[in-house]
Formats: sequence, structure tokens, C-alpha cells
Amino acid sequence: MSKRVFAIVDCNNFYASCERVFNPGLAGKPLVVLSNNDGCVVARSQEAKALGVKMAQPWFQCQHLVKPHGLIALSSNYALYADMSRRVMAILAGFTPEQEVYSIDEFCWHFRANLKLIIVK
Amino acid sequence: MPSPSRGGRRPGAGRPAKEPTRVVRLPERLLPLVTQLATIKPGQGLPPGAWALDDHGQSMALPFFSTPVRAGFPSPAEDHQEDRLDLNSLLVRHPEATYYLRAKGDSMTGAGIQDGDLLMVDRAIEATPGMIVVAAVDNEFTVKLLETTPSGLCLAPANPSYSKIILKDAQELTLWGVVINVIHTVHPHG
Repeated sequence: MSKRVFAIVDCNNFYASCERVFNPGLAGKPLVVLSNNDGCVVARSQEAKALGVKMAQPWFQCQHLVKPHGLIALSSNYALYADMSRRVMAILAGFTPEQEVYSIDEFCWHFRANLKLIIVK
Repeated sequence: MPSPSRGGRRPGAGRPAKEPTRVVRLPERLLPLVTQLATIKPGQGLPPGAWALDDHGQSMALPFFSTPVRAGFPSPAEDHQEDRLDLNSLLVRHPEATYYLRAKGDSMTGAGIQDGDLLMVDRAIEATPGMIVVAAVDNEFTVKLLETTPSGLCLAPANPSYSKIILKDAQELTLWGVVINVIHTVHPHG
């Protein structure tokens, strides 16, 4: 029986991950990316999440983490994230005949074939 | 109750909300060209005056002449044009994994990499000894020749005034990508 199967691809900490590609010094450190005008947190590395930084938290509420924990904040660079998103999109498009781009870092795959198992790593 | 002919919602009125639109201001002389471009269908040629850009504005095909250019001895009367050549499709094997980085310093001059050259770096190629690589050592990017030594991998400069980077115990080497081409500008205003 042919079923419709969907898979969702969601990039981890996308903006923070993009920044890390081009700055090896950011690896393993608590990192947040801020919204336009550095207002609030829009992306958090795993280390920043562990410090308790919340999604969309205003930056002034996180500044006390800078000195004791070395929290790093970067202004957002949307041209970079859009380029990296396009690369991810192009690579993922090779895996499925139908792909829906849901957001800059979320993609939805449609499969119509008779699939028994899907492994997404 | 107000008359249905005045005010309120008019279902079906206005532009269909299929996708967001934007008003654009452009010089009047470009209007016919842009109108033509907007109504173009896949497979149709471009109107005169337009030049080809792909979806992402990456592709730009330029005329290609197959005759090799001899330094100092131009070959006249050779105007046979082969095809249009797009540098990206000629040089880039993995577009999704290729990045451009600018080289700084003179540690790789022996390998043809000068200060300020543009490096085309492919991250999808597995780095093997003998390749010129971009590596992260101590959180800094560096361009060097990847070599093997009895004790493991090392990064070798292509300039005798620099020494090899042999990793110490605590140092971590991350191979970021492989340099596949070097763009060296020779024009003084380039």
C-alpha cells in the first residue's frame, strides 16, 4: 500500500551554527545570536541553552552571564544565514522529489513511495 | 444595518493573496524590458538587452575563445568563438559546499598563493596529504599544504622562511576545506 510519509528537517541552533562555521573560536562556547538592533536572543548554542538563556529573551537580561560564563553574543547576519539556508536546501532537495521550505532552517519532505523505514540522522 | 453596497468587506476584491508583492520603482526606459522579463516562460530565450542570471544570481556566462593565449605573442585573426563559458560551472564541483576565502600573508607563495588572493575552497572534498587545505589550528584559520609525518599529519608552508606546523598534544587540527582554485588578480585596478 502506498502511503504518504512526511519527514521534517530542522537545523540545530541554525544562526549560531552558521556563525560557528566561519569562526572556529566559537566552538564549544556559549553563544547567542541577537535580533535586529541586538534586542533579544534569536538563536542559542547548546552551551547557552545550558546556561538557562531562553528563546527571545531580551539581551539586557542575559548580560550578567557574560563575565562569569563567557557568554558570547553576536549581531545577526541574515545575508550569511540566507546563503547557508540555500545551501542546506539545495543539498536536501537531492534526497526527495518533493520538498517544502517551511522556514530558513526547517524543511518538510514528502514521500509518496511505499516506504517501510526512514532513518534520518 | 448599513446597505450592503457601501463599505465593509467585499469578498473576492483586491489582489489574490497568493504571495506577498512589492512595489518597485525603475527607470522608464527599462520598463519594456522588465515587462518582457516578467512574462517570460521557462525554455524561452531572454529578450535582447537582458543577460543571464540563474535563480541565485550566481551564474554569468561569458564568451569563451579556445585558442591558448601565448604570453607576449598574441595570435591575431583568431576570432572563432566556441561557446559561452561560466566560470562557476567550470571550476566549482560542489556549489553547495564551495566558499571563497581571501588569503592573507606570504606563507604559501611557493604554491602560487599570494597575499590578497581569493581562494576557492571546497568543503565536500576529503582532504588527503598533498592537498592545500584550510585548517583551523588554535581557533585560527590557516592555509597550508597537508603532509604526513611519522607522528601524524602536519601543515607545511610553501615558503622557506616559515616553519611547519606540527601539532602538539593539546592542539587540535580541524580540516575545514580543500583549496581547489586560486584567483589572482593582475590588473592594477582589479
